[in-house]
Amino acid sequence: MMYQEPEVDLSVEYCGIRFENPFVLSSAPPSDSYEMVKRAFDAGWAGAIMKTTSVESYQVDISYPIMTSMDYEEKKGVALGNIDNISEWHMDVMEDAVRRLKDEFPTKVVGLSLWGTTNRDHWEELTKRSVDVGADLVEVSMSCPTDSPFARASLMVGQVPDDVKRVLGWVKERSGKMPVVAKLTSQVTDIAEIVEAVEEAGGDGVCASDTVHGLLGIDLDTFIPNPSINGKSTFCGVSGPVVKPITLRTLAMIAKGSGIPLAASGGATTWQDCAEYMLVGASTVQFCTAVMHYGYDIVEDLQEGLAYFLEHKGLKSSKDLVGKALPNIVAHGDLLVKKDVVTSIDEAICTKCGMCYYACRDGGHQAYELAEDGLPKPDPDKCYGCALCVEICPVECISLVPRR
Amino acid sequence: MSGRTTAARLSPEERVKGFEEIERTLTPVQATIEASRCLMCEDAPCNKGCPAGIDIRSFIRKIRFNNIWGGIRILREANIFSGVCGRVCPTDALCEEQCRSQVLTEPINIGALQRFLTDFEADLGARKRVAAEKLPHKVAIVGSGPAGLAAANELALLGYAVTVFEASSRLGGAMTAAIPSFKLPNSVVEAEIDLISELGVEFKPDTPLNDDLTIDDLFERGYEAVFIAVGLGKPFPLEIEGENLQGVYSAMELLAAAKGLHGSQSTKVGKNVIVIGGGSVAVNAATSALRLGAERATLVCLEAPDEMPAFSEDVELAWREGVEFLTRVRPVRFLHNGKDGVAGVEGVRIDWKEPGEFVPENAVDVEGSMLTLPCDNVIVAIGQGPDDNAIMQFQSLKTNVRGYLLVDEDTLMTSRPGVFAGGDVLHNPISRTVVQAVAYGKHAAHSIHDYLNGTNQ
Repeated sequence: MMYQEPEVDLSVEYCGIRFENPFVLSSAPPSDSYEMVKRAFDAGWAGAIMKTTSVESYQVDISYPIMTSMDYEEKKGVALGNIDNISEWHMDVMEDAVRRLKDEFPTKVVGLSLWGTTNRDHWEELTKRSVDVGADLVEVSMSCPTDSPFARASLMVGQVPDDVKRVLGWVKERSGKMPVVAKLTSQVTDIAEIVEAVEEAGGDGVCASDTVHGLLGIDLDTFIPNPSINGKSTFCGVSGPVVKPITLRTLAMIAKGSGIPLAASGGATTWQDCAEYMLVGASTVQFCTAVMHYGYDIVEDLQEGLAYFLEHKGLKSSKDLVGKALPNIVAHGDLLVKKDVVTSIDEAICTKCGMCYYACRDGGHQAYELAEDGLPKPDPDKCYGCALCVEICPVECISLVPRR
Repeated sequence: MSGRTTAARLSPEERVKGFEEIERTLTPVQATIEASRCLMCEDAPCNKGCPAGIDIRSFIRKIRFNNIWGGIRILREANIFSGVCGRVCPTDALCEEQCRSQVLTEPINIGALQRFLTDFEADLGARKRVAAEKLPHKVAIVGSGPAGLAAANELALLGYAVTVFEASSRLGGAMTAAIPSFKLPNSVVEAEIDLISELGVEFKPDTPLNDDLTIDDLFERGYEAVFIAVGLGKPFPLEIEGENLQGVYSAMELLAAAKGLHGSQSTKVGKNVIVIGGGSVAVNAATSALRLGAERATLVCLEAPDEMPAFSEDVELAWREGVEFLTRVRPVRFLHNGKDGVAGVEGVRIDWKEPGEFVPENAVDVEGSMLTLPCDNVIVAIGQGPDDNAIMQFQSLKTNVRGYLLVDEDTLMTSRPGVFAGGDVLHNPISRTVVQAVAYGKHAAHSIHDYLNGTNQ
């Protein structure tokens, strides 16, 4: 390294386990084999939760293709949808992966993600074997596969507090000192209720949140949703940048009500995303879609970017970020009621495109006029300071200033 | 898929009024948009097109993922003159040539992204670079152009005690003497030289090699290796009638005047200027003449527009500023004004004997096509060769008949052990660009490192 590196500590702690940095591969396709995770560890990832696995007698049926995506205008893959199931490798292969990875990378964290359907024996066997092979932690997959075997087909384990308690209880019975993490879905009416169930069952941590159940699009020629498998499709798990606001909100809701260790998952692409997830209480940040899109190498930019950011903020450790935004999140009713800002336009930068004018006319408070030469002129008396124009301006020349 | 993002530029009318830099830096939003167009090709054809070996794919990815300081690190590790090269590299012929984004729309604007990073660094202040542990060896660099300075930077990082000897009072070679300020402000060059200076490199301006300071003397003073990167100091003459008339200048003289260099005040530009030559130096001379007060600048060259060796970006720029092009014309003689001043150029249209060979020997005059062009100045811009004074000092080194140094291609070592050479002073450089000079400097530095550490002995 030719440059003096920032003197900061990227390491974090989660469920009593030290991670070299907050960046972890989530239980997903990028962590489906020893060989893949080895390459990820070489690239700099601090840990990996192996793709969800099952006992050898469980038949894994996957219908290919499993991937679909949503583009927005020119941007490819703002949402990725999968109808993947769990790994086609069973516990024996994953045990071998954990053994080899822990042997070659003693400072890295290797977790297993388990799936045992409604079968208590499966859950107990998987847990015992995880302990025996030396996994650092296990995640209990509660929202993928997306069909709950317990109740109606539209529900997931993680949506029913009693099911959460039941499955976690089975796992905790056999887990000994190994931490047990509940991987939750954000798609519940009250996430606090689910987290309470996790705590009651003795869960050591939470990972929030899994993919969002969705339907990414429908082919307008055939009327078949994507992806089509012999003319039929099904609901998929949505991931990618589009789910970031949901993950942020879920993390914040959990962290404001509970002190349970939190891992973030869903929608992170850059180090900024990670910093934001940590600011609402996450200790580690899991990645999948960004890796599937851009490769393991992005971890170099995550580490370097976060290190320079911490230095810039005068912070010594990434631990210092955890939860720092939580006091700034209050209920809507607790916000001050005020209208003391108005828009201001930097006319030197303005391109006179008029987008602010239309947005304000049809989506705001009709505060804009267009001057003869096309320059937008907001009337401070009509402007509520709603910020719509600030957000949509393509050249970012609009700001909010105190109302005079 | 959106098209290429370009930075704001001064309009042709505004820019010919002075020497202000034409192109602005990309805004952060623009840089992100441009970087996110990059396909991040696994085999990175862009990287293969960079003589300085910048990992372009990686620095673009770092902009895309908001790791700005990481991007700056990638640039500086490979090319200390990244800010210069972001501005002056003929990117369309180098890194961008094989860019696969052009399958969708247009190649990524790599030069502008590079400049975005170095401008960011300049705004915030460069981070401290750390050299390797000091080595007990002294190395002399002769010439402070991009080749010499890139070598100095590399050797200083490796731990050597480096001294740069420069004949003139100014550091930077062509970067500060010839490349117009409207493309490359001196402040950019100076800031990058400061980065080298901070590593402890010693600079000795006004110290040419001459009878009082020979290569032998350098070895006697304890330097264990010498890198010669003196460039080309002597303009080629056309060798036609009237070349010695007043008002006839070399491109080097005109460009020095445009840079406001000491001693260039005697170069006076009239209203109507003719530039002879088809390379980028000729084109830069024409656009500089407009800024020095010429109302009309005409470029006369042997090549047709698509045959000119000038970089397309320079030609485009000149075209928009109103430079006129008179192509496939050979100047025959310069006319005088009745006294000893130049008053015009007499030329003749030409064709090529053999197609595709754009050299004077292959030109054949078109009968009855003589033309006369009145003018106040003629600028001769047909290239430079090694300086006579420099050649004198090379005496002990093998050169070709025209004074270009001959070196071992693998090591850049001259016929004398411990003496290396690179850049334009070589007999057959790959190209005469800043980035190629940087590549020579880095190559030489690593050869010197091998040489002094015994791996090549």
